[in-house]
Amino acid sequence: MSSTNHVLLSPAELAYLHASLSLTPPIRPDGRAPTQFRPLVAETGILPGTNGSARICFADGTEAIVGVKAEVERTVVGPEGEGVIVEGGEGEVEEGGGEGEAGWVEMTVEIPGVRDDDSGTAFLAAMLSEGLLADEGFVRRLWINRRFHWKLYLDIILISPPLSYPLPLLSLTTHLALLSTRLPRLKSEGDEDPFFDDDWAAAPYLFPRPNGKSTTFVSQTRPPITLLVMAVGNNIIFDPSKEELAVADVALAVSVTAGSSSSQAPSKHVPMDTSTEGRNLRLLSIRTIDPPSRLTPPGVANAANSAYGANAGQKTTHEAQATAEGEAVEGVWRAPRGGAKRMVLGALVQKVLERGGVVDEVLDALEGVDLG
Amino acid sequence: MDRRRINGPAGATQPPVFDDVVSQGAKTVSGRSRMPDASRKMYLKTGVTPSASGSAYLEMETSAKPGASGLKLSCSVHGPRALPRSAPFSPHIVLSTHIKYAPFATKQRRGYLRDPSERDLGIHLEAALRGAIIADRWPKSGVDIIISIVEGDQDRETSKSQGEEAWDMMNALAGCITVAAAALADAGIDCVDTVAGGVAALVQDGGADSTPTIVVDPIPSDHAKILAACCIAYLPTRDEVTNLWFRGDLPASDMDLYTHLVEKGILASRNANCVLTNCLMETIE
Amino acid sequence: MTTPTIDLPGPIFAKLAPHPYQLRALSRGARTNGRATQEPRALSINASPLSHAHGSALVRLGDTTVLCGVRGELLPVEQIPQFRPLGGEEEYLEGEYGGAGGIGRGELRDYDLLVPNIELATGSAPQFLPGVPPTALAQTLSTRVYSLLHAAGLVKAGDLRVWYRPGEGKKQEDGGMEGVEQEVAEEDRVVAYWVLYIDLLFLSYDGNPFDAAWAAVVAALRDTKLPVTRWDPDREMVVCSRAEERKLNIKGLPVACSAAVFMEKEQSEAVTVAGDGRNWILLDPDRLEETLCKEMITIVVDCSDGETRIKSLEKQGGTVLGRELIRGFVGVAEERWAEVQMAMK
Repeated sequence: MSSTNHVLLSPAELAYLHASLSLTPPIRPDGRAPTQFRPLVAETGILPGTNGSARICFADGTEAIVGVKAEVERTVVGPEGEGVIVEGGEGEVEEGGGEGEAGWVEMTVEIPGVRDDDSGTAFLAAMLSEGLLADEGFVRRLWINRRFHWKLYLDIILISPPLSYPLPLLSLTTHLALLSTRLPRLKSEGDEDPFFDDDWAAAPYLFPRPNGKSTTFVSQTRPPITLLVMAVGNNIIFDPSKEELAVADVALAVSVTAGSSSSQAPSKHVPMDTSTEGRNLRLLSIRTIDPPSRLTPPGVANAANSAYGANAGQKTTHEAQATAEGEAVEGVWRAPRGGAKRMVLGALVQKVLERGGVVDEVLDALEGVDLG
Repeated sequence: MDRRRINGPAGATQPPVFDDVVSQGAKTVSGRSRMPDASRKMYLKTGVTPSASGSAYLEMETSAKPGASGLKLSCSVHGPRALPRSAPFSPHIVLSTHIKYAPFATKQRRGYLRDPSERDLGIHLEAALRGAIIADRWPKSGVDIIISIVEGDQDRETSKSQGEEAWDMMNALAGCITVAAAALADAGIDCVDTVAGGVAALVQDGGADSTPTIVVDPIPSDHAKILAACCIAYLPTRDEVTNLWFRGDLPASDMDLYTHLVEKGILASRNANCVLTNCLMETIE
Repeated sequence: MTTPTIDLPGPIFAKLAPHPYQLRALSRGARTNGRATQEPRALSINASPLSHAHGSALVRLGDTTVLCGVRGELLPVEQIPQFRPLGGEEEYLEGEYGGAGGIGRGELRDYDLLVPNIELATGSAPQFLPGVPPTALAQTLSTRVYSLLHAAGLVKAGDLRVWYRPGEGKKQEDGGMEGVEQEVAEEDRVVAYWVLYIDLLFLSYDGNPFDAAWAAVVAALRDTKLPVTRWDPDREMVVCSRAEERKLNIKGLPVACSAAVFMEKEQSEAVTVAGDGRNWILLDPDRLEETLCKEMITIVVDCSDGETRIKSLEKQGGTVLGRELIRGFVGVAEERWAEVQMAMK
């Protein structure tokens, strides 16, 4: 799995990195602030043959492209469902309000040097599509009429070697590609075989643009973004590099989206001040990423190191064992054991969802990308 | 086409389609018969596969409804054993997890090759167990944890299964974590604590305008709509979470809702842990 | 001069030198697992443990545990590449009762309606780990079950046919509208077949897989209830009734009985000549015994109609089992049949 790629750092280096990341404020190897992202270059519309595409290049050299292709597909009205349609009659399903199915979106992730049936890739694809599908409004947009729907193929390709855990990169690229996705305008009406306007300029965006210049309040949903956050000690660090991830106590992938909830109930009591203070964020999915720190080699404390003569003689093995498994020694690296405290997990999620926080910053930045 | 198996007729076969369509169109919700905080009864037994280093079998109580099945899992652990000579050096035990649905485990027949969702489950399980195992006691060795989902947590009668697979997966994962922990203990592999899995969900039973409630150990077919759910692998004596998987749609402004959901997930895994501990104690005696 | 003796605890001796260990035990009159040579392990059969399958059975043979699920899926005749619609119902009936070569049996084989598969790679034993293609043993077992299913004639083709009988039910109301030609064309015909997917999952493996697997297949088929079907001409598809189910008619009760031949000399030593050294026939061998024996025999008998019928006889390797021994072994198989019959109830 890509997150568990071995990091070539010695136990001493790991201990040093861990210590500097645990300081308040943490000192990151590349001098970033804890919530700061790596600089990136983004562009959209790079693949003319697709309905939407994007490319993002991170400063560390990792680069991904995403292409979105849409095809018209006949809706397989489950033989069971047929009766319902007959019952329903005309006009019961309001325009564009049909139900969507998870199967209408197909996502493939390709990472160089990794077999396509690798579990890690399956995990990444599941994580990315999970966020997308958790938003019920999304698949509903693919509804054409009762007999047809759009089938969306998302091909996510990492074109550089996986230098760091590629999740944030892939997620941001997918987000941009979906933002730039346009579907041809429907000309047919009702349930007849669909035909479309061949004028590409008239094609509406899958995620409609905010009207006019009102960029402060965005009422429409946006595609989700998945952020990687990790905790070292009490510090919360966003967008960790590979080296930082190697000393993480816990790492989470959190998918969030902006916009009004399409599912009515739980968002009802959301305070109305959203329009002034950034977006109305929604939490879509969280997954624990198995931090590669668990696979790092442990350091040996002086007290347990017979080379230093500390414990010469027969009893070494026993005491060394006791030291190795006992209390941590200052400055000696030990792979984290056990899980994460509840409070830490809660704080991580809280930090991500903070109003006017990192998510808003990232979304603002992505909105600044020219969609061509 | 897999030439190493018997593939059956060349033409495509279809699962049976039933005639009582109209009544099935709307999802019939049976409602939940347990208290919101009560988990289903669980049966856990170790040592079902004598030739494996450790093994366990888990079965969830079947609801009274005919045709509904409770989760049935069989887990075997092989190892710790030496890594093959070609494998690179590892200072820790190399964990490999494998989860596979049996062909007859779900409403639709499953193939023999693992699909992406099964691989995904395997990764989740790996994350949950890696935190529990004291991995540095076995350098240069490996252990295989294999789980067969003999029967999934599904209701045969509901024909509309839309979107429920995801919630079923969470239930399956929680069971897998618990059964794997029992099998690991049976194999004598040292762990910091017994890890157990639990699921909690935010459900909406009374139409779109009703107040959602949080329930423990949900059965998707019991509820009209599941808004969000989380599956948690929890170490009770250390009070730590090794795996957290949340999915749903929650407003970010309402952190409390999320926190409650996680708390209930922990409660569910505490319930599972009681069964696990009892089972292990019985084995010792 | 005395040879130095080493006192080894049983399990270690068994691991280090399984063959001498087994030999010593047999010389004392019992196998290493404590059974007599002709003593099989207890068999327990648990019917219908699964709810999603149409029929299922869990079979335990000592420490070998196998789970079998039978699931029916429909194969419309348009999907059969070389479908030969047969005339009237008489022709079908003739095939069904007209002996083994009849048309009824032909449908099962020609259209491939029985699909048994055996999965060993569930960690059922240390040598069966998942993530690899089916082992030679799993493939052999699947094929043996497949051919025995066809040879034993357990399932009748008639049970798997889905008929369209336009005459029934609707009383030709729309006759006037549709025109006469169609009326004539609409006679009873087969529109689809049930395909039985028979999936076997070994949960625990401790030798003698075939006996256990076959018992599970038979028990699961006897347990199988397929929904009652009808053809819906409007939707052009087969619809099943949720309320009504029909049991399969399973003919007879074939029971497999396997044994292995243990030779006094270890197999690796040169060529074994018949009669060279002592040998023992071990009924229902376990995993350890299977690895020590080369010669295996499986006999499938059915005594359900009073007299013993041998449905299949398979023997691999070795030259010990001759005519007399095999004849004697049929008697052993008959006893086993009675035991299995009890367990099936």
